[in-house]
Amino acid sequence: MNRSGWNAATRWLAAAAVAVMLAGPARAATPDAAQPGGTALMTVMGVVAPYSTFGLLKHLTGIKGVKEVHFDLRHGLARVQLQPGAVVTDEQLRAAVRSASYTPGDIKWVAAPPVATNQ
Amino acid sequence: MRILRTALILCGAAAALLFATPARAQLTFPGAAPISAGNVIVRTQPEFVDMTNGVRSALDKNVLIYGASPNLAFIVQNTSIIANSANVVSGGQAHQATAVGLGDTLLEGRYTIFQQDGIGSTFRIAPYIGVSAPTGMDDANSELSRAGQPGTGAWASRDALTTSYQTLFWNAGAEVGYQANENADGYRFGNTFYADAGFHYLLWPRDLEGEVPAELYASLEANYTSQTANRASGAKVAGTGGQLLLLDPGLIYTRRKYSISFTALLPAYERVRDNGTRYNFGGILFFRYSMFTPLHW
Repeated sequence: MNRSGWNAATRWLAAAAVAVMLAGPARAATPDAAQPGGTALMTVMGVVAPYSTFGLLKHLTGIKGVKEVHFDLRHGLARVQLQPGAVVTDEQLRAAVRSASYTPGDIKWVAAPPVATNQ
Repeated sequence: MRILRTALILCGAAAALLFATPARAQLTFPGAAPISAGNVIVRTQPEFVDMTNGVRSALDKNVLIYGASPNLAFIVQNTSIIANSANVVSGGQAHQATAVGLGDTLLEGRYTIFQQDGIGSTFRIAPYIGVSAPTGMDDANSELSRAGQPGTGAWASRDALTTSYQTLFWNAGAEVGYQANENADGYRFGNTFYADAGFHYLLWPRDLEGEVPAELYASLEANYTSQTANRASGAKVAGTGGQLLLLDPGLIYTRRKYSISFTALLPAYERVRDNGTRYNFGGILFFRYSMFTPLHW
């Protein structure tokens, strides 16, 4: 390998070392108030344009039990609707937002409407 | 020793993949805008440049961006030279010579070192480090000078620091960087310092209530480069090196999965050595498409 190739390798090693140093400890799980089959209203900070929502929606809809997600750009508000009976924790939602490279904010849960029965 | 070096390279590449970062928001230079882990962005950028002395270049930059983690991204960029042409005189006859072929490949990593998010805003700082590999053809047409070939034939390092501040209605970004070129076959391209700035303003829609499917931005960017003279066997090559400031007005149409943009490249200031070739004008079209993979950290 010539000197240039060697320089390239050392540069990637240095990058990896910096990345390791900057990696933070895993966050502890926080108590949540998930409602089975409910809807989470979650503030997401850092989203500024439709193209910003692409990865965010992919991560949120990738959570098992999530039926659909809508995002209000003006207010930075994600509306995460769960499948009937499904339970998703606050920490799952926050982790998805962090994976999308954004900052999670407050989460409020709206209970699912009662299931109608023919009696 | 060679085995040790190879092992170190493989370990370094694996470690870099494990803890990787970055993305692009500005048109003509890399930015610090967010890219989600697992987000794969494909960009193709056909570009046309017209210069004095009959020098013209048509090329296509193909860029692949991969979000390896929320903070780390990898970028691969290859340039396909559709045509590099210039007026040449051979055998007493003037004619236009053209070189066609693949250009060099740039491998970059970006790590977001600072991030401050608010509702509808984000401020980020991200350094890039990169290596340009001599994958291009550096002898596609011997009638043209070394600078007219699709590839440089030389390794280069390219490092930059970028920052971006984005809001719902406008965003701004800046970059400073340096490219150091290695010697290849007795020829060395001049090292380049570059500084870029960009401002994008939302034209449509003005009402962002609810879900927003698409946006239209006006953009104005500026690219300054200062390059030392190329050297052949240690001697300066006449007509190479100098300073150039480009102003780039453009339009950006963007949706969740794709965007289409155009920018003109207009010289505002130019200083060339030894009556070298001057920049007349240029233009770039941008097509970007987003995909997603669950393979990420």
